[in-house]
Amino acid sequence: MNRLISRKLTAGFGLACIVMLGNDWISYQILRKISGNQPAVDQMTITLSLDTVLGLGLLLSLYLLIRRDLAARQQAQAALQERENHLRAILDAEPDCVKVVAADGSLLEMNPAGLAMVQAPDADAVIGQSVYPLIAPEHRAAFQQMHRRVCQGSKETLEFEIVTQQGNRRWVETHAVPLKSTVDDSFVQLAVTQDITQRKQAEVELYRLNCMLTTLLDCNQALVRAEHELDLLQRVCQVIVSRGGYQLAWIGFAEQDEAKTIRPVVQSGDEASYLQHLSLTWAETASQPEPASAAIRSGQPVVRPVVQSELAEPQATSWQQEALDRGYAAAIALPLLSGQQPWGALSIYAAEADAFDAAEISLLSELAEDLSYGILALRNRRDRQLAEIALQENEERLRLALNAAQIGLWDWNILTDQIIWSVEHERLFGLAPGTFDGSYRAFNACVHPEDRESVVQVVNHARAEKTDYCHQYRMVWPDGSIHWIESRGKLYSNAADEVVRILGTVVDISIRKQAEIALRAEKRNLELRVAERTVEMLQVNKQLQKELNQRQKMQADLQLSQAQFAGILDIAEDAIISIDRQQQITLFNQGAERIFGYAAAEVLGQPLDILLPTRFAQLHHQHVTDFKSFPVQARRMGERREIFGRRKDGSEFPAEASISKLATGQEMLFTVFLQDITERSQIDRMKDEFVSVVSHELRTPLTSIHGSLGMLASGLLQPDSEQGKRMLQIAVDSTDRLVRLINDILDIERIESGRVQMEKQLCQLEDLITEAVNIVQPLADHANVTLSITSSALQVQADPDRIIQTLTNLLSNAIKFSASGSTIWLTAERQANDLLVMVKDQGCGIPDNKLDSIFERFQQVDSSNSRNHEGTGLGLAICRSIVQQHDGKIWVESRLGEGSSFYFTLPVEPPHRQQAAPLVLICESDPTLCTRLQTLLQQHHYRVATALGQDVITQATAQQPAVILLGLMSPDLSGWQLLSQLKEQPETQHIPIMICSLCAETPSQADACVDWTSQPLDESLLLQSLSRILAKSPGKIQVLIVEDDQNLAEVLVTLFEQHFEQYGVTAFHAKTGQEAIRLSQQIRPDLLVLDVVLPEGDGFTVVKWLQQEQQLQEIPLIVYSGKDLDISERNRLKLGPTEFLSKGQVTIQEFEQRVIALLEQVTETATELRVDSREQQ
Amino acid sequence: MKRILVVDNEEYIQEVAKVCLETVAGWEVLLAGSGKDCLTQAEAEQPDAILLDVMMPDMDGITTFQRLQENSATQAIPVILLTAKMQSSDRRRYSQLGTVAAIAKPFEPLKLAGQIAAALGWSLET
Repeated sequence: MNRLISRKLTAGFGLACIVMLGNDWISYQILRKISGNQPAVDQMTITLSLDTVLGLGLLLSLYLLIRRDLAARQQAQAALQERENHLRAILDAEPDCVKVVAADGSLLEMNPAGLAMVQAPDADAVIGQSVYPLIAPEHRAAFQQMHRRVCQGSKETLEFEIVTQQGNRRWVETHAVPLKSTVDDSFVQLAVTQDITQRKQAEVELYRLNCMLTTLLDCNQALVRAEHELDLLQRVCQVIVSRGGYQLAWIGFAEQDEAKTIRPVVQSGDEASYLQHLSLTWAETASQPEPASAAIRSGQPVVRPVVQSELAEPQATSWQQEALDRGYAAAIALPLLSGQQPWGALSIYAAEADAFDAAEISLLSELAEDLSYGILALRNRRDRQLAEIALQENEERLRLALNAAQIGLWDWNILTDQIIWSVEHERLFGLAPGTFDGSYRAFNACVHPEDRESVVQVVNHARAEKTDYCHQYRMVWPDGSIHWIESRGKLYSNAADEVVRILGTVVDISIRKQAEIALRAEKRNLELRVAERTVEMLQVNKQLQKELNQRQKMQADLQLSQAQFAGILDIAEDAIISIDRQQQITLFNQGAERIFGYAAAEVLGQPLDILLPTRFAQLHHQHVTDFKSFPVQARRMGERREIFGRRKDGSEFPAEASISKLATGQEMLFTVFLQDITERSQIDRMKDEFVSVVSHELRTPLTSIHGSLGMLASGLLQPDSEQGKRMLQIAVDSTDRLVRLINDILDIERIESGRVQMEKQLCQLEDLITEAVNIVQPLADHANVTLSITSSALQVQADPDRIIQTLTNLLSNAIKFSASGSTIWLTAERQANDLLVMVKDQGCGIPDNKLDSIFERFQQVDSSNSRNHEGTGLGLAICRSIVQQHDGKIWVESRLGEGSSFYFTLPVEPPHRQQAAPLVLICESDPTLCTRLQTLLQQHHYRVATALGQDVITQATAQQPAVILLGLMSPDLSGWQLLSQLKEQPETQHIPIMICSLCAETPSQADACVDWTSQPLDESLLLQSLSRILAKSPGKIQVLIVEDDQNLAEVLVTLFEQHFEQYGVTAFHAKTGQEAIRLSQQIRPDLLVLDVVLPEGDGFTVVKWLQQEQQLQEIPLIVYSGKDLDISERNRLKLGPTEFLSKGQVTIQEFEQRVIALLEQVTETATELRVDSREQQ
Repeated sequence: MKRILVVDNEEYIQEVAKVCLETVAGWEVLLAGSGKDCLTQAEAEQPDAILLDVMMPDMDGITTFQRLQENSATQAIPVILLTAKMQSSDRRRYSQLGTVAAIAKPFEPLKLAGQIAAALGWSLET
């Protein structure tokens, strides 16, 4: 037994089946061409054995199933394809990662943004691979859980870390929805994933920074406002705990006592009395000192994790144990310094082990410095106050001292210029007792040189003004030390108002002065430092403001990204609807608008019920209520029953939906995710039906083949016995039927999928009818059925083989259902815009309920066995496909018991011929006759103009009519005069003239006329004459050849002028696009031969230009190009009747044929149209 | 000798089945070309079993079987379906109907009789 199955499939035009049975039982070969006009370039050879017949059947079933399914969804797919392309473009441009993950975790799809996110070198590196290696190990379990839920139909959101292919970690946020796989109806995960690494970092940093800056700001405010040291410290601790979010903050002073006690002075957050349980010292005693102790000792910030003490000291209470008991996980202590000297420490305790990172330590150190400064400033302020108090005390003491003769007294007699100094002066001036002679000179020598001038001035001024004075100046003691002196003078005048005496005191004010200077300096210093701190604080505040601005910007960015995500939701194909606790609609995306037909504004705030069929509303309400208390966050709806939606127009549709809930504060929000599955349901149903029909159709002949050959092969039957021969016959017939069936199915699939183009050409319908009749005549003869054919000369642009196939199918069908002795009529006629073909029989007819379905596949009306052997059930389906591919219609009219009439139409070319219709100038003085002629000629598709007398000459010159129809009874010029004028003028002499005359005699000038007709008018004679004249009219056709290759152009010009001489062709040649346009305007060609690739404006430009010109837009066109043109390019290259010929692929004979066909259209249009219309009448 | 009624609208399948059953099992084979024909013959001929095609025009095999069941004269005759429709959903439907068995098309010509006999508990006399 030959078990070989070999297949060779090319873009097959032919199919042959060789059925070979082992052991030389039989060799039977059927060669069958599907389309006779195409060469059988290859054969599909199927070598079948008994055991492989079934295999072949299954193979074909599978193939057909796929093909048929595709065809059934063809239209939907075209739309889907477009949508897919559109979505693909969006997907590729989408800045976020979009991916599809299969249920098993393999990555099915990922857009370029996604590949960039995972740093994949190309799509192949990740597509088809598991996604898990891309996910950080600690997040894999979470992702797996999420993925499982999505693949069960729910929508999920997850934040996790990925590890890129280059080993980098990134935080991502993924929004995943279930997507039903078209392959096996399982769910896969469709996810939009955003890189949130920066956001994450920003969030953490922002939060901490925010806390710290707030803390700093508040502390600074406390510093600025503080009046008392303890208040300040207390406030700072409070701020640290309340703003900074720490557990405990306290400040201890390092006492300078023997035990080096750390004395806690303020605390905040120590409700658990941590401090009470510790005895704190900054002495170097403890092996694991409290951080505060370590900080004071070292003068540096100390950070300590709180861990179980390893060196357990049962007798001593470990600070770590106390801290652990209170839930502290980390501690920091910051020394408070005066210069380099620690005077205390600020200690802070946090619940998080990682609370104190470098940034935080730096900020807290700054806080501690500020605090130190603040304390010192406060202390300085206090010192100043103390100094002032001391000063006052000093003055008091001085006064007392003065009183105790600390004041020097002097008496200056102006009149005698004699000064009397008290003894205290010697001490005040630092002189040894007895060394001061009391002279002004001696006094002056003691005064600081810089102050001498002022001393004199003050005294002189006082004398001039006669006022007492008080003056401070410096004395230089003999030891060089400088002492401030306050000198007061009281002036005494005589009766003549002359100053005669000054009595004065001298006080040493050095101590006071020094204190003042010190205070002033201190004050300046303080002011400077306040100014410095103010600047710092301004900077801090500015920085804070900047950080806040940045945070606001980040929040704005976050909002923007959320808006982007909302945008993605809105372009989703599915309906996404949110409802609140009252089941009122709060969100309605564009997908929902499309599916339900409502605008969002119409449904927002409405109850969900309006989207549900009334009968389900109550039930659904209950389901949502139940779901509220359901433990899961999301689930698929309608798992136990089908669910339906209700559109705005009231129609219902099957749907698939999932629901998820989200608790936001008090509110419970439900989100429903819904798909309209109408189309899918229909396709599923059609698929099921088709599977069973094809399965049955293929198995039927296979059953016969398999059974009959099996019996023969078994040896139980003798092949040459009657029964054996019958079995062979059955096998052969059934094989034949199987082959026909396969051919037909392949045929119809090829036609419908558009893989087989209709080879349209200009055909004589009559010829096609004749050929079809020749094919079916033997069948008709056999069935004793008469074929009656009525058709006229009709031309149609069609694929001749396909039209013959259609006619043959319809005729053989009719024969099959016709009783012996009956007649089948075939008619073809011209209608307004198409040709109508009818095949009418006298058969049993078709029931009304089958009239529509009869053109579907495998829809035979009568499947009774005796007649059904020949038919495959696909004949009419093929006819329909062919006719539809020709833009025609096919239908049937039938009466049961009386017969059926099958009709189909083929469109004729649009009436561009009208434009080319010849112009007839009628010159007839009898108005009745003139009107009659005009009507007649217009009915027969001529263009008509009328003129009388001299106007005839003018119009003939201007309009150049094809024919002048001249009556011989013209009023002012006689017909004969007109005739001779027309024949004399060069502009009109070439125009044929036809004379309508009542005169029976042939006039002498008759030579000049081309024809005669006599009145009363014989219409048909007139029309015939006109046709004859027009067909003969010479030198009328102008062909413009547009070709940049000079040699080829010459060949074409010669070809036209010589080979088509009988058509009277004049050929013109243009080398460029521009020249073509210019020449077209001048000569108004009747036919254009156009190359596409041209200098100065290509073929497209030329055609585009010609399309704008009314007189040129419908001229016949031959596109003769070496360029392969696709459909859209071909559509752009359309004028009148257009032919596409490829250089190098067309023989000169073919070229001639096409040109002749077009030329005939140009010359014979009028003739043909007239013949047609006469036949219609 | 067992008498079996083969019902199929396809003439060739009738013929082939008849040859198979006659040659292999030696049974007497009656033929019917439609459901209607089957009902008539079943009642008139009282065959020992009916081999019934499912996809037939006008009256399909399922309807035919139901009619046989409704008629007391034919309800006792065991029915075996012969069908191209053997998807699992179809099989479930057939078993719910109460037919004895279902045999897939194309059938194995040499085994057909054996399958029928096995389903009916007959022994094959060769």
